[in-house]
Amino acid sequence: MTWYALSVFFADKSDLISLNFAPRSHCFSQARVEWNDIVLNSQVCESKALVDLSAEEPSDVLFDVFGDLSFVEIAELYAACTKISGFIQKISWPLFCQRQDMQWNEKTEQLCEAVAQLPPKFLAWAHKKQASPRDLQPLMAIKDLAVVSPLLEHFESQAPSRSQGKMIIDLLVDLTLSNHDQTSLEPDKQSAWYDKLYKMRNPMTVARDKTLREDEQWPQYVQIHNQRQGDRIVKKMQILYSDNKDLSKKLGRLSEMEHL
Amino acid sequence: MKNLWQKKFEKVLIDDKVKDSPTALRFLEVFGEQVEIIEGEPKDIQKKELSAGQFTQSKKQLYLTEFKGQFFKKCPGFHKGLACCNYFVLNLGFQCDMDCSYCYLQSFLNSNYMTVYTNIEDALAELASFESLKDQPVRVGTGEVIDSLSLDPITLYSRTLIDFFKDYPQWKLEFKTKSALVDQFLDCEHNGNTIVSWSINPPAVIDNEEHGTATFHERLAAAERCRDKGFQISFHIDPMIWHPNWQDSYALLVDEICQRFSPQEVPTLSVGTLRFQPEQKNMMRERFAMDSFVNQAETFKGKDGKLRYSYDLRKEMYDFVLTRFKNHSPAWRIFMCMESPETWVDTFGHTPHHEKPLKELFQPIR
Ligand code: SF4
Repeated sequence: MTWYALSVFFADKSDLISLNFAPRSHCFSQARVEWNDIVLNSQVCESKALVDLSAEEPSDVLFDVFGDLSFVEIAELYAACTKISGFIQKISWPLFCQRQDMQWNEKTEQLCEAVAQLPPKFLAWAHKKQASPRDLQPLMAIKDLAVVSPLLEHFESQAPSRSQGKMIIDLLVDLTLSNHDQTSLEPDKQSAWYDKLYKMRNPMTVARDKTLREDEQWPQYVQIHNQRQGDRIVKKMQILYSDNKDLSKKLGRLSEMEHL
Repeated sequence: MKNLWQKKFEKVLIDDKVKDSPTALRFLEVFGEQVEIIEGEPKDIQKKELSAGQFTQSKKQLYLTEFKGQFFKKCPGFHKGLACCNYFVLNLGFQCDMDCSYCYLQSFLNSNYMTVYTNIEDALAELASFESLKDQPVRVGTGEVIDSLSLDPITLYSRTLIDFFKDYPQWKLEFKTKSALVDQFLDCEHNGNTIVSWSINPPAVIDNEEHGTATFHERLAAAERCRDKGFQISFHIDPMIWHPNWQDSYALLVDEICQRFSPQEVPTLSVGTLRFQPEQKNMMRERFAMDSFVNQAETFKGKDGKLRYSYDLRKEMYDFVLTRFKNHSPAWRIFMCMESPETWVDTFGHTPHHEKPLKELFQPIR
């Protein structure tokens, strides 16, 4: 927290511009803060004192007004700042992002611009799950994000976890770039959204995994299932038994099998 | 020829400190007025994670300077769980003027300038200080983060290195390239310990994935010229990339190699299938979209965290190439770089340490 020399106004100030940004979680500052005729947190009740911090470094002021922000909020703040002529150039984004534990570079800048345009339902999910720039970066491969916006809206109703959401984004991007019809990528009732997209993205592997035959003969009390673990197929064995005696008898018979 | 070089780079900057070095003088001769001599680093140099656009741009901006750190590093494949060869890496710069869709530099480089180091004499002094290794089978490769030969007609580093290695008959020098630029060193007197190795793929893969590289036939013709001058030849069929009709493509590649070279002329031949760091995927997708076989690939995380084809497909691809070579002649020696000991065992029936001709390469350096 930086200590400031304060100028506090209670009277009306004309010609003030409001920054069109409100943090999704909470605003750090309880007072309304002005920086060179821009009210940074205009969502704070107008009856609150207006503090003029124009003499301060704007990246410090932004941090002290808004505190820690999620990446979605940073993107929204960046977009809001670009809308006020000349304001964005005055802010040191590398400094501001450093205080947000984030690196500012061309890649982050482009991502911020893109993320701010994504549908609100998706942004609500991404903010709630604290999605990182890395989680959202795959979207940058899509030139016209409006194409995938309807699909991204489903994140609100599907509510995937952060890691599953990240995988879904990745699959959606691949499938969109492969010219799949967007409606075919929507979630449906037949299977989980991720499973459906995974199958569409990896048809060759899914077909191969299915055709892996169980060559070996197993007794009836054993069930074998193929299961993908990373780049390999592993076999999952289930043994049906009634009690410990039955189990040791069956294990004994298994150990005598020739292919083991 | 000068014209072709000049078209390759939009900017050529030379650090004032090195402007009188032989390398800088050669660049000045080729690029003439295109060269700008600067004090220290370029003003717009970025040393952070690059955007896709910046990475593409970095291939068109060249910067010559000196390297102040340690030149020699151990091969990146040398860590627990992975089988790899005894290998020292000499980086005389970084970035590459060619543009392969799968290039690992995309997940690795954080500078928007292709950089060439001019102080090769310091690298040689460092090498000469490894006296204790003088009688050991050391291999030094120059193509890890920059292609060994793509700028060599200008730098002529190959000539300096071949000359140095003449005095170290136990050591091997390896140039690794996807270019066909070898004529600048063919007249060099050498000790038979220089290996010129090509990363090679069938034409269908080169056309689709290895942009700006020499064609399949150009690479093989360059390899023939090297062989005819007594240089050792090596091919790395790496990364093998799945694509429709991949068997036909790789059959053509194997047959062509076998027709032009005997197993004795190619003492080592390595095979590896596509693999890359997950972080690289975004950059590849932004730069090459789904036109690339690499981006189309169905990949899964392996034990080392890299994305690879499913194990059974990898094995099928290895088996196919191995069988095709062995059908030509059982004398072909093939090894797999960057594969786990398990894959070795599944494909060859043993680990690399049991492959007699390779045993020497896999001795740990003490
Ligand atoms: S030739 Fe090698 S270094 Fe150059 S782009 Fe291709 S893979 Fe990368």
